Amino acid sequence: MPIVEPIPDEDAIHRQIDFPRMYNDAKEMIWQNVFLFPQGEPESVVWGKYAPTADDVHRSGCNREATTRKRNPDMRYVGFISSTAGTVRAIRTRPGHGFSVVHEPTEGIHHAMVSYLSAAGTALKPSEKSELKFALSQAFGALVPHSCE
Amino acid sequence: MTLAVTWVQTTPIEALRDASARPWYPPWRAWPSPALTVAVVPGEAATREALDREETRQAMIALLRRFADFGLSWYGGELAKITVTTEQVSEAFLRALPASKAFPKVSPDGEGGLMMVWEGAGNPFLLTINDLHLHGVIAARTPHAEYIDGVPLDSAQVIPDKILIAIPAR
Repeated sequence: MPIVEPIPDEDAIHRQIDFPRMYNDAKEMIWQNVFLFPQGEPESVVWGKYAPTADDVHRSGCNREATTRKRNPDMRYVGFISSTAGTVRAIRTRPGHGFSVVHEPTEGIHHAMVSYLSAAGTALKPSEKSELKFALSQAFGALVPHSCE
Repeated sequence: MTLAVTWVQTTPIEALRDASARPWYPPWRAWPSPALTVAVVPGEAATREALDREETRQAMIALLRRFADFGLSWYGGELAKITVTTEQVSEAFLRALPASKAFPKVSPDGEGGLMMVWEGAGNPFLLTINDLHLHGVIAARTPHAEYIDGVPLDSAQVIPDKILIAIPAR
C-alpha cells in the first residue's frame, strides 16, 4: 500500500484535459467545466512533486489516453492546466465552502484528488456547487497544449 | 410535441434565406436542429443581426441535443449527459431569451443538469438548469453573491423575472 503524503500548499497540481473530437466545431459555445465532480465525487489531478516537468505530465496524459480510447475512441488528451494546492485550498465562497486537496496514490504515486469541502459539513445546494466549479476554473492557468498523435 | 414547442411558437422566415449573403448551413450542419428554417422570436424585426442571432441560437440548441445524446467531459472516457427534461427545458429557455440578452456558454454539470455561464463584466451570472428547476448565482465569486435555488419554471413566461434581470445584456 503506497504511503499517503501531505501535499504542501506551494506544490503544483495539474489537471489533465481530455476533449472529445466531436465537439471541436462547438468549442466557442462550450464553457470549460473542467471539473465536473460527477454525483459529487472527487476529481483527479497530478501532483507536481511526481511529475516535475511538462513532459512528465504529458507522458502520463498520453498513457491515460491510450486506455481511455479503448472505451471512447473519440476522446483525446489535449494538454493540462496548472495551479497550486494552496490556491485551491484558499478558495472560499461567500457561504464558506471550498475544496480539499489530498494525495491518493492508489491510482499512481503522482495521483491526487480535489473534493468539495462544505462549510460545517452541510449538503451543497446546486447553486453552491456551480459557484465552486466556477471558482476552481479561475484558480487554474492557461492550457499547456499537447497532442499524443 | 415537446415541452419546448408548446411553450414558444416561432415564426419561420423562409423567404429571407435568399437574401442571406452567407452560406445557409453552418459548419455544424451534421447536427441539424429540428427547425428546418431559421426563425426569429415573435415581435423581433428580421434584420441581418437577428438572423445571425437565430443561427447562434439554433447551433446552441443542437449542441444541447448532443449533450443529451452523447454527453461531454474533460477527463476520462465517461461522458456526462444532460437529462432529456433538462435538454427540453434548456431549449425552451434559449428560445425565450430576448434579443437584448447575451447568450451564455454551456456545459453539462455532471449530475444531469446544464450549466449556463455569463462570465463578463465583473458580475458573473451562473445558472444551472436541472430538469424543471433553475438554480442561479448572481455576482458569483463576489462578496455580494446571491444564490437562487429551486426556482420552478414559469410555464407562461419560461424565464422568471428574477433570473431574466440577472442575465447580462449583450
